[in-house]
Amino acid sequence: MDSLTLDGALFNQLLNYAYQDLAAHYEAINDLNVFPVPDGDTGTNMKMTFNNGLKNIKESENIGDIADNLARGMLFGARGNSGVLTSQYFKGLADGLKGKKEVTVSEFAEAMVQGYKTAYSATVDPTEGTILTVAREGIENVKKSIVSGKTTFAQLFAMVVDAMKISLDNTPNLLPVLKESGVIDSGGKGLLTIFEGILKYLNGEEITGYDEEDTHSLPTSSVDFSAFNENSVLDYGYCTEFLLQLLTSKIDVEKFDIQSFIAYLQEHGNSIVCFQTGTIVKVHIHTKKPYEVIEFAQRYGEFVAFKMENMALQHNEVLHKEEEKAKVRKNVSIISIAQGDGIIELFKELGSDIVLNGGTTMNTSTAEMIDAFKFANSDEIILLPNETNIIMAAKQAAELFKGSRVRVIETKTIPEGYNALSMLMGGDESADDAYNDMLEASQAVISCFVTKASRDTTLNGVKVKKGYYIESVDGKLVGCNENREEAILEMLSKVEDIENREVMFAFYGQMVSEEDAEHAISRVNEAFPQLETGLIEGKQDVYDFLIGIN
Amino acid sequence: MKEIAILLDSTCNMTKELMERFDVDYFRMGVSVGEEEHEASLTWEDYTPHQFYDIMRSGTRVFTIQVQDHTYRDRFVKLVQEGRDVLYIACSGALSASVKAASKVADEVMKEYPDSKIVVVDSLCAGMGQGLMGIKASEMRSEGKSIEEIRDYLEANKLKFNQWATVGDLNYLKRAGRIKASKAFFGNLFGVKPIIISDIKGNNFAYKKVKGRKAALQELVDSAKNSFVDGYISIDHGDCEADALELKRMLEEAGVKAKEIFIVPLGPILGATCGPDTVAIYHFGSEVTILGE
Repeated sequence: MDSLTLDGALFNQLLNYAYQDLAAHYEAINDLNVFPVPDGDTGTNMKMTFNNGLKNIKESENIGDIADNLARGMLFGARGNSGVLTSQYFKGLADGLKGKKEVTVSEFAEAMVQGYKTAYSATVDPTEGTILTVAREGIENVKKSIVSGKTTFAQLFAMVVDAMKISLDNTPNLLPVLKESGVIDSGGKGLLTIFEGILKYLNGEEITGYDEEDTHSLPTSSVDFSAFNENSVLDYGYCTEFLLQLLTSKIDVEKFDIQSFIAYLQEHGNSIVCFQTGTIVKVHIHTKKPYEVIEFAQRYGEFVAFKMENMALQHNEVLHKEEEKAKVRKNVSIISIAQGDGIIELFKELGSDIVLNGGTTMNTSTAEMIDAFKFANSDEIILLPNETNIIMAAKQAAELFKGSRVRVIETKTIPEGYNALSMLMGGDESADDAYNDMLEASQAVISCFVTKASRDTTLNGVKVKKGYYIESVDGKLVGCNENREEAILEMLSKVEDIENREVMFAFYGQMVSEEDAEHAISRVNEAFPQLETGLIEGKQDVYDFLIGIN
Repeated sequence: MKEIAILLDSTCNMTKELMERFDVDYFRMGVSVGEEEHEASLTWEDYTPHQFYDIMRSGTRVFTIQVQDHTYRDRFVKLVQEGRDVLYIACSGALSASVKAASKVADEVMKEYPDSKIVVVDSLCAGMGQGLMGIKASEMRSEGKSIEEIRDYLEANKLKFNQWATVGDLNYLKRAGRIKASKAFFGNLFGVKPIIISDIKGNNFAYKKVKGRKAALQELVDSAKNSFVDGYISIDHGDCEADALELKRMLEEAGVKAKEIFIVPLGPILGATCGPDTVAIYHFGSEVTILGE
């Protein structure tokens, strides 16, 4: 199949192939991870971002419409920094294709130029050796070879794919951290994969290794079923929600006493939201024994809607729960993003109105943040992303949302977020005061973590062995130790000016026992007696210890 | 004109030397430490300040006991019978029942002794803020001012006796409940230090948070420097003399020109409420305008 022009229908086909190729290879892209930590996976993020774009496409002959729908969907579905850059790339591309029914190869090439330029301008400090470089060289090094009226789309994309491959292979030379860990840039690889998929369609090739089920059933917020397996214990129970139609055949509906109904629920679960509208009762409850609640409810009526999820697998539960609250326009809302039940609870206690469940392993998407903004229903919103790979999506969300003044405090870590929130005065301060106090506090903390390395590598001159504990201070790897406690002590000794620091707080993860955590802190107290230490059960995954130092 | 007796109470933190120097005395509140009850003595007969605060550090809770009505009565009657007018500068009415209880007793005694004068002033403060008011009253007495003149001055100026305090551990304040701040303020906080003032109603109000002790000490000095007008400064401390000395040095370095800087132990009553390692600066300065919610 070859053509000198590209219209909406064909472009739509190309995009589907692009997505399928991405979906077939995203795990390999995930593995191109500099830090030996299973964090914000580029492949997953790009795949989910792209999928959200595809879902937003409505059939059209016009390439301009298709590109616009795609870009819009991607902007809202953007997840992770690479997802945001990809969405910006396609936004630029869409701007270039705007209003067109079909385009020539030269026109499409120009739109690709606009694509990478938009992606560049989305970053304050564009880094070379990343997806940006691949996007730029992928078209700039091809442009001169395009012969108007001769070069076909198949030829264009073949050249683009070649140029991107060369560019990608060169990324380690531009970005030392890639070279040191022996990988190429993952975002760039993702972009290349998109164009490879397009080329495969034009060349009539099949895409293998791609799971058909994946395309259509993929939810916006994907659920990782591996979080509950044959060895799991039911810790959190089931988030159970239903609408119950009260029935006169069962009870005297007029005399239904919601208070005693709620009293029963309270004895059988928590996080209860229950209210009655007419003869329908809405129930939300977290329970380990849903059958008891179901059986009880059926004494009063029958279900007209029912949903139940294992909370170990559930994402953005927090948001669901909050949605039930009465909506009153507020002056200021503080929204933070965190992972780990202990951390989420603490952040709420400190004054975060909404805590979105997300973080290292599941980067919150722009759309999820916008949902939270809507829900917050406030004149002013202050958002704390608390994760490096969510900051760009957070800023994109703030820009896209017009219903409130949204400010993002660019917190890169949970300790930064904690430090910021701990400065809140409890609700009576103005948005500006809260913003300024939190901004200042977030910048005053040194963030550290200790976690098991997911693979062997060498980074920042440190030899990392899989299964050993890596030590990170302010995003830099400073050491690696077989013993977790030793790793913490070694790491602290490498914090600049540690002898003059006053405060250290640590969130211990779900893989650490309370006993072990306390023992580790007692060692810290011995080694650094001047530090005021605090230990919090964070229950986060990935990081054994997240540590903040003031 | 009758001679004026000036009395304060256990929350004023004045040392024996200061009380002798300015010829004032105080009503003793009480503390219960474990099973025992003690006078909340500012002359520390039963234990040294260090011993007292170490008891608290070991986890023993200390409760406060207010001045008994008969204690007020006996003292007022005795002084009146000696032919003296009595000025009692009491701990903030927002923190203690002293003002209420003493006023009631004073009214009764004045009825019994028609030409007696017992004036109770609500200091709206505690610690050496209250103490500095006593010193001011003593100085005015020396200048020959009448008890009414002294009372009027104190009533008009009491919000100018400033307090800038911080604590070592928020949990003591939280447990004692004698502080105004929202629930969120006291969340699970590590290293966060509140800056506590005495507000226009005489409540302790945590109006600001800072991270770390050093930042807190700096904040106390900066606030004192901004507000200071003239006279004495007192630094009251809960067994953390090094920090008190550091504050003194910082104040001097910041160019705050006090007539004299006192360093005094935080008495048992404030100690029981605020805990070890509390440190506060008191001085005469700008009028407080903050009302804690």
